[in-house]
Amino acid sequence: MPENGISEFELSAWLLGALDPDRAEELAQAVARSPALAERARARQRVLERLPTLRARPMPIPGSDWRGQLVARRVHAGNLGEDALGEGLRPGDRVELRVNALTDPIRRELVAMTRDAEGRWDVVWPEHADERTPVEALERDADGALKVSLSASPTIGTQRWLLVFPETPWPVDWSLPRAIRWEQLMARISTGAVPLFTFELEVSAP
Amino acid sequence: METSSHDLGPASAALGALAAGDLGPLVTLLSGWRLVEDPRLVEAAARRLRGRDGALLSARTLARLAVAGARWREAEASFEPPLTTDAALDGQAALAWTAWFAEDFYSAQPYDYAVNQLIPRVQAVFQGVLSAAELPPKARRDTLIELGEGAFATLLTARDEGSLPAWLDIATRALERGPGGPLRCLSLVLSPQERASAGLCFASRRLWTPTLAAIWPDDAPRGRAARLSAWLRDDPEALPRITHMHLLSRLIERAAHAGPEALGDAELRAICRQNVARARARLRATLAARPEAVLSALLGLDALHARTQDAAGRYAYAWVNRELTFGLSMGHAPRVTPRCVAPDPLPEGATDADPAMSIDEAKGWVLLVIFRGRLGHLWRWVYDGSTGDRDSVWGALLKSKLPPSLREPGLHRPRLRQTLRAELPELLWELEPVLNSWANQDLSEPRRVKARVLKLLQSTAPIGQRWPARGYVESVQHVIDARRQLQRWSRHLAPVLSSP
Repeated sequence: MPENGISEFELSAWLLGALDPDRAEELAQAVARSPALAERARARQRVLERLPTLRARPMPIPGSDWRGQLVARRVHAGNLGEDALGEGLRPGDRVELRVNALTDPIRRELVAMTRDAEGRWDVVWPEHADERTPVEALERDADGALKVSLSASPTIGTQRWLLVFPETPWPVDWSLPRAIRWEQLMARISTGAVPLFTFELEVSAP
Repeated sequence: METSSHDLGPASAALGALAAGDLGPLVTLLSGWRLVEDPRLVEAAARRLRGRDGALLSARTLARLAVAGARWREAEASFEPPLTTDAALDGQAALAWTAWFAEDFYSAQPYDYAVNQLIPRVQAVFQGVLSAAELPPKARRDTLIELGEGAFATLLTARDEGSLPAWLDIATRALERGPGGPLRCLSLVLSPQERASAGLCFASRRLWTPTLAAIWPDDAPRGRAARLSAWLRDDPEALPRITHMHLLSRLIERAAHAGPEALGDAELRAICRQNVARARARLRATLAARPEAVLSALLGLDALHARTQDAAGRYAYAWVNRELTFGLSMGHAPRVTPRCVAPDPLPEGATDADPAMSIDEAKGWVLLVIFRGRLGHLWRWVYDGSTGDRDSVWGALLKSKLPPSLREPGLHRPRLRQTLRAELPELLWELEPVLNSWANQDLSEPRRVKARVLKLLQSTAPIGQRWPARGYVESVQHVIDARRQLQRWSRHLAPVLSSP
C-alpha cells in the first residue's frame, strides 16, 4: 500500500485538479508534510506532462454493437489479429475483410474512411457517385458474412480505417468539396445510429 | 489525530450535563455538526448517544465525534470559495449548456466548446489517471483510442437507460460548489416534491434506520419515512442538517463496532465522504430528471466555464475509476451515476425487525462469494449488471448457493442486485474484522485451517448457512486478494462510487 494511503491514481487526479476540493486540500497537506509523497507527486507530474494530447473530434462510438464482429483475413500470407492486420503489407496491397452480415432490415451502403494526417476521417470510398456500393452488391462467404476488399493506402505506418454502413441512398451533395461532403454522415455516426467498425493496417515502405 | 485526556474535559462535561437532562454543553460541543441548528435533531443526537442498554457512550468517543463535526464542516466549506470568472469563456459555456440541454450538439458554437474545452478536460484527467495503472500495452492503447475517437459520442450524444448522460451528469456536478457544500447546493435546486422523494429514498435504506429511529423513536418505519419526506419537502435547509445527523449516527455505529480508536481523522473523513457521496449521487440523479431546473440553476451561476471544467474533471475521475474497476470495458455510454429509481414503498405495518431482505443472509452469502474468490464478479454484477464472463463458479453462487431469503424468480435476481447496490459497501465494511481474521490464518498447519476458518464463518453468518467441504486453504488467499481489492476501493473508489 502506498505511503499515506494515497494511490498513484489519486495523486494524478489531485495534480489534474479532479478531486473534490476537500480531498484535494487533504492531499495538499499530506504532500506538504511528507517529502517522500512530494517526490512521488513530482515524478507523477513529469509523467503527466509527457502524455500526448488525444483527439476530441466526433468519432465512432466505442463499444458499439459492431465492434468485435470483424472477421478479418488478409489476402496475402500471414496470420492476422482481430483488429491489427498483420505485418508486411505494402501500399496498394489488397486486403479482404469479412464482416458479419447486417441483420436489420434497413437497406445500407458501404462507406470506407481512413484517418488523415490531421486526425480527421477522410472518405476514400466512394469518391464518386458511381462508386456507391449497396450492401446487396457485396459478395458473401459461406457463412453469409460480407466480403469487403480494399487497398492499403500510401501512408506508411499504422493506418486506421473505418467502415460505415449508413442507410442508402445516403444524401450526398457531390458538388461540395470533399472535406465537407460527408459532414452529415459524421454527425449521424456520432449519434450511434450507424453500424460501423474500425480496424488498423500496418503498412511498411515498399 | 489522537484525542488527549486533556481534550476530554468538554466531552465529559457534556455527558454529565446530558445525564442530568441539560443539552446545552452538548450543543456547544457538537457545534460543527449542522444538526445543532434544529432542536429536534439535537434531541435525536442525545438519544443516539445512548447504547441499546441506555448507557451513554464514552467521553473519548464523544470527543472524536465533536472533532469529526468540525472537520466535516471544514470539508464542506472547501466547496465554497468562488471560482475564477472569465466573461468570454463563461459566455461560451452558457451558450454551450443551453444548446446541449436542447440536445443540439452539432451547431458550431456548442460543438466548438465541446471539442476545445469540455472533451480535452475529460480526456486529460482520464488519460492522466489511467497512466498510473499497470495495464497490458494493448489494453491501454485500445482504451486511449476509444477515449480519443469516442469522446464526443460518449460525453454528449450517447444514451444509456440506466445512467445519466455524461453531459447532464457533469451539469449536476457543476451545481455542487457553493455555500454549505454540495448537499445544501443541490437541496436548494430540488423542488419540494423532489426533496420529498429523496426523503423516501433515504428512509428505504437500512443504514438510515438508526438515524430515523433516533429522530422519531415512537414511529414505525413507514411513519418515519412519511415524516422525513414531509420535513424535507417543507424545508430545503433540512436536508444537510438531517444528513449531518446521519453522519453522526454512522460514526457512532462505527465506534460501537470497532471502538473509538477506529475514529482516526482519516477514517472520520472517509466515512463522512462515503456516506455523503452516495447522498450526492442520489440527489444529482433526482435533479437530472428535471433538466430544465438544472439548466436554469446553471445559468444563474457565476464562473460557469470554471465550474464546467471543475465538474468535468471530477466526472472524469469518477469515470476512469469505474472503468478501471470494470476492466476498461468502455461501454458506449459511461455509467457513472445511475438514474434515480423510486424505492418500493415500505409495507403497511413494517417494523425495524423485518427488512425486505435478510441482510444477515446476504452477509453470509457474500462471505461464500469471497470464499470462492469471486468478489470481483460480485462487484461487477452489482454495479455493472454483468460479470463480463461466463464463470461457472459465479453462476453456481448466484443460482444454487443463494440462501432462502435471497431467492427470487428469474436468473437476474433484480431484488438482490438492487439491495446490494445500496448495501454492498457497508456490508463489506462490516465484514472487515472477519476478513482480517480470515486473511491472517496461519497456513503452516493446513489441516487446522478448515476448522478455524469454519468456526469464524459460522460465528458471522446466520445459522443454517452451508459452507464448502473443501478449499479452505485456498480461501485464505482469496480473502487476501479480496482485502487488497477492498483497500483499493475504499481508499480510492468509495468516495466517488455512486449508488442509486
